[in-house]
Order: sequence, then C-alpha cells, then structure tokens
Amino acid sequence: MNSMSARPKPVESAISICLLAVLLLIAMGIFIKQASQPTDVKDSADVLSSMAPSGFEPFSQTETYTEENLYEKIDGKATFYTDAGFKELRSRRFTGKLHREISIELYVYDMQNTRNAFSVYSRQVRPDAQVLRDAQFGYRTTNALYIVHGRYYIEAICSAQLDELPNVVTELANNIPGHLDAGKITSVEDIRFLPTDNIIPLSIKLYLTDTFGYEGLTNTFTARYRIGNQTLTAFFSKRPGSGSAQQVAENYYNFLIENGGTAKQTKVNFGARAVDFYNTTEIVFAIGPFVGGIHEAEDQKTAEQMALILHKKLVGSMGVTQR
Amino acid sequence: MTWQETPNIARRQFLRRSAKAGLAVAAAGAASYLLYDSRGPKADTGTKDLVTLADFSVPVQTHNTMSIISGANRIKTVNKAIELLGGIARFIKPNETVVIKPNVAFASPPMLGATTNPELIAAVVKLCYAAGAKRVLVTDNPINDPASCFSISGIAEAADESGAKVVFPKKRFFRPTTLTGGRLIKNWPVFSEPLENADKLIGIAPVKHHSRSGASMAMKNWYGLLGGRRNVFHQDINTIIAELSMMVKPTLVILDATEVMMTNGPTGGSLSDLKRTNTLIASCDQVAADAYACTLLGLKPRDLPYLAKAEKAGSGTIDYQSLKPKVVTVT
Repeated sequence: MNSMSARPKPVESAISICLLAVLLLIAMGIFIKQASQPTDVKDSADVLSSMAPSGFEPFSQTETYTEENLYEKIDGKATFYTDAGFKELRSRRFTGKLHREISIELYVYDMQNTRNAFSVYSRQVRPDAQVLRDAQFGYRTTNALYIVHGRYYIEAICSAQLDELPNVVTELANNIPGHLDAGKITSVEDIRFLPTDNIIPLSIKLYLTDTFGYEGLTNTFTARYRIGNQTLTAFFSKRPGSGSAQQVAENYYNFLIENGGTAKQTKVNFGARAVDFYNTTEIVFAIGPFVGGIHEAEDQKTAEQMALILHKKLVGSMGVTQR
Repeated sequence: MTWQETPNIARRQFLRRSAKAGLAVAAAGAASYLLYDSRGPKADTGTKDLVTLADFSVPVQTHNTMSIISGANRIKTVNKAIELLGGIARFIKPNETVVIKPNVAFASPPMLGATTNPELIAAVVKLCYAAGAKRVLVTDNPINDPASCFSISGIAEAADESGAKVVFPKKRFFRPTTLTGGRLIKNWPVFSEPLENADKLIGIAPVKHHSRSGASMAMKNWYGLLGGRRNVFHQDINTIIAELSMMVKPTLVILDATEVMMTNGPTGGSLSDLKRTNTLIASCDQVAADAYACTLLGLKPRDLPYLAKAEKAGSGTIDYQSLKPKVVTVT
C-alpha cells in the first residue's frame, strides 16, 4: 500500500512560497503607503514656520488633525469642515519675540480641492472684511486673515489688532502662497455664472449641501444683491443635465410649499414659479443644466427683475437655448 | 486528479490525523464553552459603577430667580446680578466647596470671546470666598490640551490669582453616568470627580452662535462635562443639550453677553464676529437664562428646539418674563 509522503511536493512548496511572497508584497505596500503620507505638505512644521511673519517664533508644536479627530481642535464646528471635503488641518501658534503677549495661530485646512476650500471660506466671510487683492480669495479683518490658496483654506488669527502690526498682513499674505505648495491652482469657474451688477462685495457663497435648509439643493452658488433699497439672494446650482435640474427645481418648489409657502402668480415667462414664503418672495426655475432662483426677496417685482437677469446670464454663459 | 488517483494513506496515519483533528475541534469547543457569556453584554442601565450628579440648586425664592444687568464692566454687572438675587450668601455658605464651570473649550485668547472671560471667573471666585467658601475649584474638560486652553484663555491665571484651584481633566476623574429618562446619556463618562465632593456648582458661560445648535449658552456649557468621543452627540444636538439640563442642576448660571459671538461660532476667530451688547444674566433657572440670552443673538426661543425640550423635561421655563427678572443698569 502506498502512503502519502510526509514531505510536501515541490509544487505545494512553490505555491506556499508564492502566497507568502504576495502577503509580503501587501505588507510592504501598506508600509510604504503609511510612511509616505502626507505627501503634499512636506515638512509641516517647517512649512508653518516659514509662513509666520518675521518677529514671531513658534510657541507650540505643529498639531495635525484628520477627519477622525478634528473635533478635538474645533469641537462644535468640525462637521462644518468635514461636510465640505476636509482632509487635514495643521495648526501652530506663534508669539512675538519682543511682545510675548501677542500671538498668531495659523490654521491650514487641506480641503482637497479649491471648490471645497472656497465653500468653507465663502460661508464664513466677516462683515468687516477687506479684500486681499493678491490672494486667490482672501480678506482681512481687524485681527485676522482668511485666504484660499488652491485646495487650502488658511486662517491666521492674531490676538492683537492688525493695524498695530502693519507688516504682519503683508508678510502673511505673501508667505502663504510662497511657502505652501498647493500644486496646480484651479479657479472656481462657476462663479462667472452669477450676474455682477448690483452684487454686494464678498457676498458670494458656495453651499455644497443643504442650501436654504433643503438637502436636495446641493452645490449651490448664492450671492446677495442690492437693487434700489431692496436686498435679495440669487442662486444657481449646476446639475448633471436638464432632467436633473427640472427635478431639483420641482422638488425645491414642493419643499417650500410643504414648509409653509403659498404659490403665487408671476409675470416671468420662462417656467419660473413663485412662492410667498413668510412674507418674502421665492422664485425657482430650471434652465438647461441649471436650477436658478431668488431667495428671501422683500418684494416680488424686484425678485422677478433679478430672476430675469440671472436667467439671461445662465442662458448666455452656457449657450443654452431658452425653451 | 480524481478520487481514484488520490494517494492512499496508511490506516495508522489516517487514525492519527483523525485523532488530531478531533482534539482540535474539542479544544475549540471547550474554549468557546468557557468563554461563552450566556448573559450577553451588560445593559447600559447597569448601576454598579454609575455616578449620579448631585442636585446643587438652592431653594426657590419667588421673584428672586433671574437678574439681567446692563453695563460694560463685567465685575460690576456680575456683582449687581448676584446681589439682586439675594446676595452671594444665599448661594454659598461658609466652609462649602464650590465648583465653577466656565467654557474653556478652546485655546483662544479672551479678546475673541470663545471662552469665558477671565475677569468674570476672578470676580465670582472672590465672591465665593467672601461668603466663606472653603475651596473654589475651576474646571472644564477641553478635549484639546487642557493646559493650553486654560492658559491661553487667561482662566488659569485668573483662577490662580483669585485663590481658586484649576482642576484639569484626568482619566480617573471620569465615571460613567446614565440619565434617568435620557435617550443619549447612557453609561457615558462624565467629568464627575470635582463635583462629587462639591457643595455648589456655578456655570459661567459666554453667549455664542453655534454652527450646530444655533447658540451655545448656559445649558450647552455642561457639554464640557462629558468625556469620551462626545462629538457623536452633535448629530442630535438638541436632545443632548436638553439632557444635559436634566443631568446638571446648578446652584446658579451666569451668562456673559457683554460681547456676544454673533457669527462663526463656537470658535469665532475674528473680532468682527463679536457684538457688544453689554448685558450679564444671572439665573437659578438655566432654561430661562438661555431663553432670554438667545434674543441677544437675534434669535427667538422657538429657533432653538433644545429650549422646548428642556422645558418639557422640567429643567426650567422658556417664559422668562414669568419669573419677573430684575432688570438694572450699572454704570
């Protein structure tokens, strides 16, 4: 009677070695992947230090936060960023070499792309903002700078009034793009679809989700306009196609009605619908791939006037034929 | 290879291998039997190690529940606010241990209004000692580097100079609690140690916009007593704030609206997020305090669902006017 050999056959040995080799390759891949991140901010401590204005020195170590632990740094506001594509925050505090009581804390949020960075930037614009001309998007207030640089959203918060530190604003505004490699800088092109006449400066916002409390209205640009003594908000959202735009417009209209709005007649003739919403006028329409409309207008006539302007701009910008 | 081609195995070898396989199965079965927990995991409502926070409130005095003081000087307004409620002696007795719970959530300088103003901490600590307090502790659980938060906010220095002791959170200071009638606070760690030997508890918080809850005021301030990954509660922020108002029954709450954070809260960052409203509120009813303070943020109580939830839970009243608050201006 033949008995099975206790020693494995050469083929079995070869298969085992192959399997072990595959496992080894997987382990090496994981190790390399972990060791190589983050790839873009090469030496975070040096990058943040190099961005600090002269006369300031590091007061703390660079802190790094991911989506998992961002709440440890900004509890209560973390989801504002994580809902907008947040990847990583690096922050570091600096103090004045001569005036230790003055500090600047730098926050560098990696939002993965310019659009996401613009969204969190635009939704926090302060009322006393003064535009920084040389930044892609940027402004300063009495004590802080807020800048978009490629996929990064940067805050520099100072514990003193910046007017007392005239060099700080210039240096920070120059140092950030000079030392923070954001790769290829892309623009937020869709902003051009908004009419520019009568626009209130720095009022453009990008809501990636839940615009005006409606979860179906995403990726929406809004801007405030002053027409005569009236102010209102115009908005548009670019959808994948005209069918999607029609559906979102319909759903948003229904959302307004279900939440206390009442339908009312409108003179605009491109399929727009108007809603009286707690004594303000809302208008919504679809044109080509766009959902557009007016939000919180004080009177209907001004809302219709602005809706016409927005509609014309959307038609012209995309070369869409009015239906 | 077909079954017919399978190499033959010697009978002895087959038996040996079968025995080994049998032993392996038996060992695994025995281990499973020994490790099997027929009762399953402990229910959240287990009580063995749970702590229940004491009721620190003082007896109600009709029409002595809430004061609203106008003025720019925090020291003057807080002194007047407490005086109008019957004076500090109503709240603090000799030899008592007092815990003051400020909002020290961030490593942020006082000028940005994201944390409790240190002047206010020092003023209240001094009042407590003047009433004969044995010890005054100042404590909070900022998640991110408590030492930096207390230091940069100026609260550590204010506490130290006024004779209070700052208690930093340590792992052993947390014990689990379950809120009776609560939906979220179940077997959840709370920063209980400083409170377990305290006689009185005073909450002192700034009035701030909050991106999740709409506003962060007196009730939201207790969020700092929660341990663990408390950010999960932000998904149901209104319920957790209402439950915190059920869990914590303070002696007094003080709301600082000298400057309120109107936008970009709760962190703020720019001075332009702040608006000077020169108001300070002291109240034995934390719901009433929040209901009034939210109006300074341009909100109505109905804009903050947690107020109605807290009122329904019996934590206080939204109708602060019914308490006939004492309204005074100090210069």
